[in-house]
Amino acid sequence: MCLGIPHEVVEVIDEDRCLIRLGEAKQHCFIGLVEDLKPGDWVVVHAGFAIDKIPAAEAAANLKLIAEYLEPVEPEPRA
Amino acid sequence: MSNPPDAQAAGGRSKATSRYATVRLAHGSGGRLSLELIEELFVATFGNEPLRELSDAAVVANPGGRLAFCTDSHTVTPTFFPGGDIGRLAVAGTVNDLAVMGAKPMYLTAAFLLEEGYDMDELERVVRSMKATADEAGVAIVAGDTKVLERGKGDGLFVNTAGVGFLPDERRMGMDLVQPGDQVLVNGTLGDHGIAVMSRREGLDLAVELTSDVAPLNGLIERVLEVAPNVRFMRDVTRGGLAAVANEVVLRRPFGLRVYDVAVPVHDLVEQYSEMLGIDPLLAANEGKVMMIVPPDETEAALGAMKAHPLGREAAVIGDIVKKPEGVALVETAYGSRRVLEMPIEEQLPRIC
Amino acid sequence: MLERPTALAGQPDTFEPTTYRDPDLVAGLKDRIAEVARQIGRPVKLMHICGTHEHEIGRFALRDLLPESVTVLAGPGCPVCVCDNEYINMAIRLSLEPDVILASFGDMLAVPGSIPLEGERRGDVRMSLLDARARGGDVRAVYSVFDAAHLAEQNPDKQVVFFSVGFETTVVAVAAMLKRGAPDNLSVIEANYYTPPASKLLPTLEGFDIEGFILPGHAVTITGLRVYEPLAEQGLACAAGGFEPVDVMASVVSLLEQIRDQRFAVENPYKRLVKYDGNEKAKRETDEVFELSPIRWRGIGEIPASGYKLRPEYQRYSAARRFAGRLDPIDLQGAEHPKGCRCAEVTLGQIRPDDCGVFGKLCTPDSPYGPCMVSHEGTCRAWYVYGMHKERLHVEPA
Repeated sequence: MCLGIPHEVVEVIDEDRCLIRLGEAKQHCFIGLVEDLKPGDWVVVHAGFAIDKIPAAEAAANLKLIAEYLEPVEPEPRA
Repeated sequence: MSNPPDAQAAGGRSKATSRYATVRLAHGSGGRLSLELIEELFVATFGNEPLRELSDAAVVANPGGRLAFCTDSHTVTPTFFPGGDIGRLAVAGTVNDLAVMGAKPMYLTAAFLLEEGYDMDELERVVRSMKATADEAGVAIVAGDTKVLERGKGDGLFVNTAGVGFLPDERRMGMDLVQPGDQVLVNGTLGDHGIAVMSRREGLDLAVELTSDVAPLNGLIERVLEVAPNVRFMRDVTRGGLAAVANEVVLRRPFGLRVYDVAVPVHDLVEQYSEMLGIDPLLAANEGKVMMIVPPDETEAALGAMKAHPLGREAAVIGDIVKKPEGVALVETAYGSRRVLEMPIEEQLPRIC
Repeated sequence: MLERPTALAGQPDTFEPTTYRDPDLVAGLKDRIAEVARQIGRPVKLMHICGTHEHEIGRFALRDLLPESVTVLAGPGCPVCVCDNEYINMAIRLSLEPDVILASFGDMLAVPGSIPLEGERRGDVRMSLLDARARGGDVRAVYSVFDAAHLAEQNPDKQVVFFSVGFETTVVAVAAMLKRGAPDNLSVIEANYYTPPASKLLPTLEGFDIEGFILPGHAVTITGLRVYEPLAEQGLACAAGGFEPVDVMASVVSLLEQIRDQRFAVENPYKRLVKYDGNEKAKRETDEVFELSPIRWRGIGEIPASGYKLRPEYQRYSAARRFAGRLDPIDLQGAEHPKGCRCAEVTLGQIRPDDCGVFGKLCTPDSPYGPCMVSHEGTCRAWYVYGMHKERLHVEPA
C-alpha cells in the first residue's frame, strides 16, 4: 500500500516539481502537495510524488522517542 | 564494471554493409549476396583460419581432455544497452557457461536470424562487439550461419551461439561434491545488469545511468582454479539472479544454502534504484557474475585470486552451506532473523506502492 | 542497554535514513518488546493493515524477533486484493478496444477478474490484463499516474485509460493531477479504496481478538491519525507504523505499552513524517476531486463511504462514464473469489494463508488462484515467497 522512500531535495524547479536525490540516484518528483521546500529538505516519495516532508525538528523528535524506548524498562507498570 | 572494447575501433563500414543500408531476403538465401555478407562482414570481422575456409564445418585442433558443449539463443531488448549489447552478451554468455564447468572455452559458432529490413550498421556494430568480446576471452568464432526472415516474421535480430571447451581430465566439479561447511563466493556486485536494464526500460528519469556487468569470466575462473583446484561447483548468475542459482543448488539435496544479507556486495546506486523499483537485487539478472562453492581451506586463496583480477575486485564470501534446513536457500538478515530466499517467480515488475 | 547506540549519536538537525535500519536499535527494541510482553504476561495479538508492512516484515523476517506471546497478523492492506472484479473487467474490456491504451500499475496486470478465458484447458480460468495483452490489448505498465498523463500527451489520437488502484495514499496523486488539468484523452477507472471504514468493520467480526493496530504509516501521513480515534475509544491500541525495521519494532513497543497500561490512544512513533492531522493540502485537493461513496470490496461486500468517486465537476474523466456505451453490464457485476479461494478471510486477518486449503498447492505465485497470491502486497504471496508458513528457520551449520 505504501512503498515510500525518503529522498533529499536537490533543486526546487517550481511549486509543483523538484529534483530529488537518494545517494547518487536522482529523479524528478511532483511536490505540489508539500509546501515550503528547499534544497536539503527530505521528502518521502510514493509513486512519483512527495507525500510530505521530514522536518528536522520532527526527525530529532523521532530519534528521541526511539532512545526513550531503549531506556531500561521500569520494574513496575505505570498505574 | 567491465569496459567493453570499442566495437567501432576498426573504423568505417565493411564492404557489405556499405552497399546496403538494410538486410534483404537475398542475404540469407545462399546466393551472391549471402556470400558477400559472409565474406565481407563475418569473415572479415571474426578473421580466423577455419572460418576463412568457408567449408561446411570448422575443423579445429583438439588439445585433449573431455569436451564441454553448450548453446544459447539470445534476443535482447534493447539491442544496445549501457555496458553492452546482444553480441557481447551472446559471446560472454557462452564462454561463461563453459568456464563455470571448469572447461577452457576455445571455439564458438554464431548463427544469426535477421529480419528483412534490419539495419546493417547495427548488425555491423553487433558483429564487431562479438569479435571484441571473443578476443577478450581468447576464443575464436569459427563457424556460423545466416538466415533472413520475411519482414514481420522476426523480431529484428536473434543470435545463437554455441561453444566448445576442453576440460582437463583431473578436474572434477559438481553439485554432488557440495557439503555443509563449504563457503559461497561471488566475484562482485549483484543485480547490476537487471537493475540497469529495468531502470532504463521503466523510463525512470535518472541522472546517473547504471551499466550492465556483461563480461567473459573465463580468465578469472582459470586464476581461481589454479590456486583452488578443489572448487566444488560453479554457476554463472544470470536471469533470476543469485536466488535462482542458490535454489538450483539446494533443490532435493541434503543441505541448505545460507546467504548473509550484510555480506552481499551491491553497488550503492543499484541498491537505491532497486528500492525505488521495489526489486530485490538478489533476484535481479547479472551477466558477468559467477557463484562458486569452495571448501573452507581453499576459500582464502580463491577470494584472493578473484580480487587480484579486474573482474573480481569486489569479490566476497556471501554465505555458506549448512546441514539444515535441507533443500532450502535462506537469507540471514542484519538482525539475525531468517527468511527463505525463494526461487524467483516471474518477470520482475515494478511494484504499485 | 548500557551504551547509547552510535546510531543515535548523530547531529540532531540532519536526517539519516539508514538510522532506521540500524541493527543495534533493532536489537534494543527487540529487548524492550520482550520485557513489556513479559510484564503483560499473556498472549497478545496485533494487526497491521498494510500490504507493504507484511512485505517488509517478511523481507526482514521481523516475526523472528518477536517473543512467542506476541503475534502480528496481516489485515486488509492490499489494494490489489480488494479491488473488485468489476474494475478489472472494465480495464480488460477497454484495453481490447482498438483506440485505447490501458495504463496500469505493474501489480494489477496478473490479477484475474471474472471474465472467463476462452480456449484454455481449465474451464475456470479468468482473464487478467496480461491475458488481454496476449490477445492484442494495448496494456502498459506505469509507475505513476503522471506516466499515464504523459502517455496521453504522447498519443493524442488514442484514449488513455488509467486503472487507478490503491488506497488513500495513491489517490492523492490522481486528484492532484486532475486538478491541475489532465489531457482530454485521459480517463480514470475509479478503483481507489479508503481503508478506515474497513478497519472499523473488523472489531464487529466474529472471533475478533486483536488488541492493537499498527497503522499504515504513509496512509496516515495523508489522512492524519484523528480518523482512527474511534478505534482507540473502543479500547484498541493504535500506533502509526513506518516501514523500516526500527519503525515497525517501535510501533510494536508503543502498542504493547498501551496494552500493558490499559490506556489507549492513537500514538505516533513515526513522528518524523506523520502529523496528527495529516497533510492538509493533500486532503483538501483530494476532497475537491473525489467524494467517498459505497464500494464493493472483493469477496467481502459493500462498505459505505469507502470508495473514491469523481465529483460531478470531474466526472468527465471517469472511464466508466466515458465508455458506458462500450461496456457490458454483465462485466460490471461483482463476483466471488474462485471456489476454494479464501482470500477474503486472509484479507480480513481471520485466517493465516496456510489455513487456506489451496495455499502452496493449487495456488502458488506461478499459478495463482486469487489476488492475495498475485499481488506483491498480498499476504499469501508474501508468506509464500518469504517462507513465513514454514517453521522458524533453524539452522544447523555443519
